[in-house]
Amino acid sequence: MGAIIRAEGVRRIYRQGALEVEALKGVSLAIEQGEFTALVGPSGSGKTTLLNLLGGLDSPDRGSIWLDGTEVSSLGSGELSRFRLHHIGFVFQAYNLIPVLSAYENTEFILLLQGVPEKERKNRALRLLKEVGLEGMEHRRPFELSGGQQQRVAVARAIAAGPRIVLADEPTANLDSKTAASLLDLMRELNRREETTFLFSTHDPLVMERATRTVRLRDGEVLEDTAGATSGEAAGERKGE
Amino acid sequence: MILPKLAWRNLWKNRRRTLITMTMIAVGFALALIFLGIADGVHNQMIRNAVRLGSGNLTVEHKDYPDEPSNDKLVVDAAALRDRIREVPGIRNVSERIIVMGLIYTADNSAGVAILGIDPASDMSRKTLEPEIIEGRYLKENEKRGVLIGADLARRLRTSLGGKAVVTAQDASGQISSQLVRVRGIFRTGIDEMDGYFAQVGLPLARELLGVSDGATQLAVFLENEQHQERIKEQIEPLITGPKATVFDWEDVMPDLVLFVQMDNAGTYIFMGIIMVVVALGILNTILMSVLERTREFGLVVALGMAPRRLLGLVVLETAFLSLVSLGVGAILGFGAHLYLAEYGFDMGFVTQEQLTMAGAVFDSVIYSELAPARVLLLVGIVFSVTLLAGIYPAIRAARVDPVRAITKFQ
Repeated sequence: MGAIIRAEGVRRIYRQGALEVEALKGVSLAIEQGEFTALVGPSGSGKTTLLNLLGGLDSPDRGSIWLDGTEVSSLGSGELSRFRLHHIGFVFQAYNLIPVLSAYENTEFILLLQGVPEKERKNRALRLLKEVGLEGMEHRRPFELSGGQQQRVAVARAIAAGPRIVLADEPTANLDSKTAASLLDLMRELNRREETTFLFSTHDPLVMERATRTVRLRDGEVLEDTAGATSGEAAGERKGE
Repeated sequence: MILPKLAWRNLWKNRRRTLITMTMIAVGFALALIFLGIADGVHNQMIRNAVRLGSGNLTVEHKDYPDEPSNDKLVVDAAALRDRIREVPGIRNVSERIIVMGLIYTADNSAGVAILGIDPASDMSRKTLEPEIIEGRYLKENEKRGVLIGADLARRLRTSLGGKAVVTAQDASGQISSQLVRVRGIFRTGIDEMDGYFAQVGLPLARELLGVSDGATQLAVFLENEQHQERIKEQIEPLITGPKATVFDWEDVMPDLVLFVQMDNAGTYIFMGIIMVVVALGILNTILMSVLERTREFGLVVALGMAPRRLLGLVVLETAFLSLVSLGVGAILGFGAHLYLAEYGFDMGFVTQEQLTMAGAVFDSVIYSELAPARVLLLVGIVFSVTLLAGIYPAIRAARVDPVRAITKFQ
């Protein structure tokens, strides 16, 4: 099976005046459909940069990125925007939701942008909110929801349009461990059932415990990749470090 | 559509700021309406007074008279033409007049004077002049030797009510002719030219002075509705059979008044311009603040796949809503004030006790607001455009958001 996410020799350099910082130094990575992958590493290791590039939010200085059969590294910003809309779901660290829209409206937001008919939109959004455990809270605005509930809405929104890839940047960073575990279990369940590919950037051991694969970055390079190992082995390796 | 819903809710996210901005725009627009209504009211009142006292909305005169007025430049066959013009729909009155430039003297003194010969029964100037009479009465129909003069002229001639005077002028053939008159009324309009250099007599006396049996210096045409001036002018033109007569607009006859109105309008536009700049800055401040505050939110929606041009549309829509609601409230305030001022007027009496004159025209101390629909539409268009223009820079900023920077910076 071909990789759904593929990065080849990806370099990303940030310039601050005369200073150049090489955030990624030629990263190559292939992720198969249905994987539940954690990108881990200390702050500044390049995991968020890599996630942004793989999500089509940013373009590499060198190398190429293929998502679901399309080389996104060569797309212009308008095409990238359309590609993200139709192929990728995003969950960010915090303040993920549009504050003036209710949980229901946030969930159907992507479907609205895609032009999905109202009836179908409504059915899908309500079903997903029920699935993420927010039945009865559809009309609450983000400020009326807890952090965990907000992230659940974000997950519902990310998968509402049925993307094959969901990218999550530290989705549990602001949650207590119980809420984080419950959110991760929800995503793992969706991953198993829908075969949706999940890619996380994270520091959270709870994510690593559930990941089927862990890619460890340091100083902009892949230090370790547990591709092919089971999650248990990956966890064991971490404990042995 | 999601955009109108988002735009409307975003507008009310910071309720207090939005309300303050709306109040500013609404009050600015209402003030502009009130100011425009009063300015147009003053202008129209001046024009109406000038038209009534002067030579009508339209004037039929010898074609050379406005440039070189003289006593021999007459409209021949004036009475017949007057009757034909009266048949045109939309005509309120046609006053046949003779204007003679001459001298008036008493036993004590003399003065140069414009003598206006009119039909006291029907002339439109009666409506304006009769209420200004401070001594005596207005001329009676068929009164042969009565004269009405201004208070300043009476003082200079050292005459009073019932006093005798002689009016002298060059007749149509160039000979000097004189007529004896008696002062029947003295008026004070507040207009220097009227009070000091003007005398009104009956048409027959004026004709005798000119030595003509028919003909008039002018036919002053008064209209039911000032808006139909152009149409009626076109209808009158073919009725004129005399070789040298032609029809003029009041604007041709009173260029000074036109100039004054134009100058005053320029002042009004400058005032409006200042209001518009304040309104634009208010909108710019509100929308730009609101855009800058939402950088992360904009980064988020762009990351999720919203096209930047839709984001631009969202901010423009927010500006449009802000503007429309404010214009609506401003219109209610402004029209409310206009309706009140149109009915009860605005008394400038605290500034001046007398009537004011400008460019030879009088305006009363009580000013009534008048708003022409075209001017209101223009103002609405300008305010709406200015507010939208003020929203463009913030909209462009919003559309240029870099999702990666926006999300990471504001994480």
